[in-house]
Amino acid sequence: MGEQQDPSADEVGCKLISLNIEFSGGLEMLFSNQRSHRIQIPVKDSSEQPANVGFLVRHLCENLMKDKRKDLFVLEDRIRPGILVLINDADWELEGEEEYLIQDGDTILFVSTLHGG
Amino acid sequence: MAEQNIISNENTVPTLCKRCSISPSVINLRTEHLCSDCFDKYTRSKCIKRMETYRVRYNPPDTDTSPRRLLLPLSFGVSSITLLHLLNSQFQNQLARTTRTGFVLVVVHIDESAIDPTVPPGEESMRAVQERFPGLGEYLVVKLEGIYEFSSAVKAFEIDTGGGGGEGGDWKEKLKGLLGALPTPTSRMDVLQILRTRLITGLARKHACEAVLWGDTTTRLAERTLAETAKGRGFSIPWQTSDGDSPYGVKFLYPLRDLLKKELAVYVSLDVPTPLRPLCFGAAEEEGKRKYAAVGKGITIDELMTQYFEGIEKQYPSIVANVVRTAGKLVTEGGVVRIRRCKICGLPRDGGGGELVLDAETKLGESSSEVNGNGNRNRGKKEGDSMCYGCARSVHGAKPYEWPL
Amino acid sequence: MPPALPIPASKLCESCRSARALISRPKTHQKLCKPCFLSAFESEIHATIVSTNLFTQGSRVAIGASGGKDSTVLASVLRTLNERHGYGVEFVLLSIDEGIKGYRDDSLETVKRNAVQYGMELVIVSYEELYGWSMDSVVESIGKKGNCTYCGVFRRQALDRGAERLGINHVVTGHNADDIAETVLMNLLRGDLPRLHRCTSIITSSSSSPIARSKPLKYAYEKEIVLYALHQKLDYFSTECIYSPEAFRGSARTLIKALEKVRPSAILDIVRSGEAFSRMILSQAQASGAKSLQESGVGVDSGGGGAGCNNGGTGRSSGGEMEDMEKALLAEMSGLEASIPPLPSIAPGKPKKMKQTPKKIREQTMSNCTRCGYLTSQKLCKACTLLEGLNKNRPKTAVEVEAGIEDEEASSSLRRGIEAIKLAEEGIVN
Repeated sequence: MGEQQDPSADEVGCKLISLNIEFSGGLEMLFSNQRSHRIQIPVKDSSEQPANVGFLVRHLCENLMKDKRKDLFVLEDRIRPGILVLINDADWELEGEEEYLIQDGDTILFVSTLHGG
Repeated sequence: MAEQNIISNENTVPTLCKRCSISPSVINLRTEHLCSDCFDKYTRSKCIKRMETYRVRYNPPDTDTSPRRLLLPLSFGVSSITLLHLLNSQFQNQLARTTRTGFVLVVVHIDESAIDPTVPPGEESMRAVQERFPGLGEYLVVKLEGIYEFSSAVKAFEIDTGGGGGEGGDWKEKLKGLLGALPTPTSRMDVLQILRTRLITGLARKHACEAVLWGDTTTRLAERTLAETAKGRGFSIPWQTSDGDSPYGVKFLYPLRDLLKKELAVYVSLDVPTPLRPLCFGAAEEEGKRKYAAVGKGITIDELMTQYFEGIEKQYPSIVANVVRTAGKLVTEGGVVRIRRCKICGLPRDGGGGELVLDAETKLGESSSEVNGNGNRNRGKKEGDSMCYGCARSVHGAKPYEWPL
Repeated sequence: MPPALPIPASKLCESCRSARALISRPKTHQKLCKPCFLSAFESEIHATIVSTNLFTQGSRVAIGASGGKDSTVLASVLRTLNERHGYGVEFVLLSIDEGIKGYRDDSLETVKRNAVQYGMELVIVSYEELYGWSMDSVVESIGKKGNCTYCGVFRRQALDRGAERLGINHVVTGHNADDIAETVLMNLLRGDLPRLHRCTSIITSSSSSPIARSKPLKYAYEKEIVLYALHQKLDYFSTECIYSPEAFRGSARTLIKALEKVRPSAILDIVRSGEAFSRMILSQAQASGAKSLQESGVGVDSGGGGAGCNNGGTGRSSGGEMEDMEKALLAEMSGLEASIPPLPSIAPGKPKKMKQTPKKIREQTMSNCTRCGYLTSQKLCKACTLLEGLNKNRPKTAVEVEAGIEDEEASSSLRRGIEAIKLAEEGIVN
């Protein structure tokens, strides 16, 4: 399992939260062919707002995603329609989508419905 | 004038018009480069072909030679202004050739300032338009909230720009209440479109017009075909896109149905004899709305389709035309039947939305009853049964509202 | 799991009101917990099956199985419902091995595991054994471009032959509501009335084909299929075919998903509109469409959502498709435009090219392919025609194109159209 740290966050001595990120349904291939990632992200984003899913998605694109094909994951900075997001097993639509404030220890699963027949 | 940006930017060398081989091209119509004169002729011919029914009538063989009364809804957008201009040319030609005309127009602008205070009421714009095209017929500005007048048919309808007199304020509030009660931007836009259509067709009947001339381009008709499909109103597409009798008791005609939106965008900048663009008071607003719509979640199905076809039109114009051709081949079940109308859109109903409403009420249980302000399940069923599926979908989850018709 | 804290009312399942809601159903916005969702999903498919009399007691039915999410969920749900409601149907898994290393061999492993998990017989029919060519060898010979055409023609026939081999006359596939909605939109864009007429029917069968195909998941959202697979922890395979990767990009699929985002019910609303269209198409179109049935076009077809191929196979369109459609239409239109009288001021138009009448669905008489015996309207069936080209190492043989009744998936006819154009351009039309 890849332990990822945000170096910039470390430098400024920001607090970090740990979470489990999982990819499925074909998205694994965009993230080093690895289903589970344990990562840490800053508690607050650059404008001092508490980290939400919107921020997490940007963070994943910038830090965790080595693949160049960003548009297979996001469209105009938002999760591509057709990709399901589950926050601790619950549909993110029930949790406020991008606005959901990330808690330490959350498991967030991204599943593509776009792959495979 | 150089070719507009809509043309493939491959050629920077001026291309000559393919038809006259004299003037530089201003537009690339799929495969053919045209100069401004030839493009103007092309555009006129497309409209005239559709207006054939309204040529000057002679006696014999026609028994009635009086000009037909036609209603033209004018939004001050690119399409309706172009249509007005093209009809004016036809009108002036008829007059010059025969001293008579085949039609007169009732030009109507619907003033929507009640629901969007940033929209100008339209009288000034209307005056400017009337100055440019005098003598064509009547010019009216009608407030959208006037639709509440149609429910009490006894009262005379105030066409005056002054609005609906004492009750005007009341109607305005009712209209705002109605749109505010709807659950989503898509529903609001859908219902707003329905209100416009019903007001316009009501005015057409009132003003003894035999047809409404809509400004919709091929592109717009294609957008509508897919948008209505996505809103569950596939059954009603012929009524919303084809020329001929409509269920509203007046004919519908789409004289610009063979022209693309991007073609008109070029056309309004041409000298015909002076550009039409300055008259397109609504165009900037349309663009503004689109930009706003692109951002965030508030986008509606109609706007999404507009965006989709903007892309398609750029690269694949033939596909746009093909959608409209296909829609034209669909025939409504049972033709223009007069029974079982949807109480919202006024069109003959499909299977109805009773199932939808009932289903939702049963499933949502109490919470839905709370929202509706009553616990009576029968009411839901009844309401659903009096609506078509698409309208039931749009008003599903709405707060209480007063329907004007 | 942390000890159960009281769940706030707003987070409760709207059905049982006791467990935490985990799913927001796209068509109703209803919030359900996992068990209530699973049971709602299953009972709706059961309702579809019952209301359409899809199965008869004692019959054998093949499930086109690719190992992907749709066919895996289909197999799992059918097994559950068969037991629960006593359909009395014997389900058999039917898979096609196209012969694509690193893709199909892996997904077939999934199907093999599914066969064990669901206690179903599994039959695998390979292109290699049927045609003497695997897709790997086809691609080696003709390159990647256009390979989906071969794969589609081969698959359709392979599924029929597999069913025949099993003595089965009914194949169910995993096509879902998203697939059907996309197909409706694509058929509108393409102007294909016969396909628009039939693409929403749950079962397609024809007098000239002994094998019926049906889509029990036609009202099931792709989102719910994936959630079902996820919550049931089903074993499915989700890798793209290596010969047509990322087929969903820039396609009508993107539009469908955007619509779902704006108004989640839109997908079912499109299916509903599509069902209305099918009643709104004049009977001639129906009749001629119905008569031209049978053989699949050269298009990528069927199977999908059941027997593999996420490109075209499940009704998914690829990005390049629009471009091909435009070309086909433009070619057709240049014929149409010539019939419009030229404007007075314009020099009399010289006849532009040849006048092409809009393609009408020809009535066809079906007979057996003189080489392999498969039903066809030509002397040779399409597979044999393609094979002839492959075997002569002259890959781009033109295939006379016509619509096939079950050829309703989005990409197929278009590709045929395209193929015809490409061939015409290259001047090798037969």
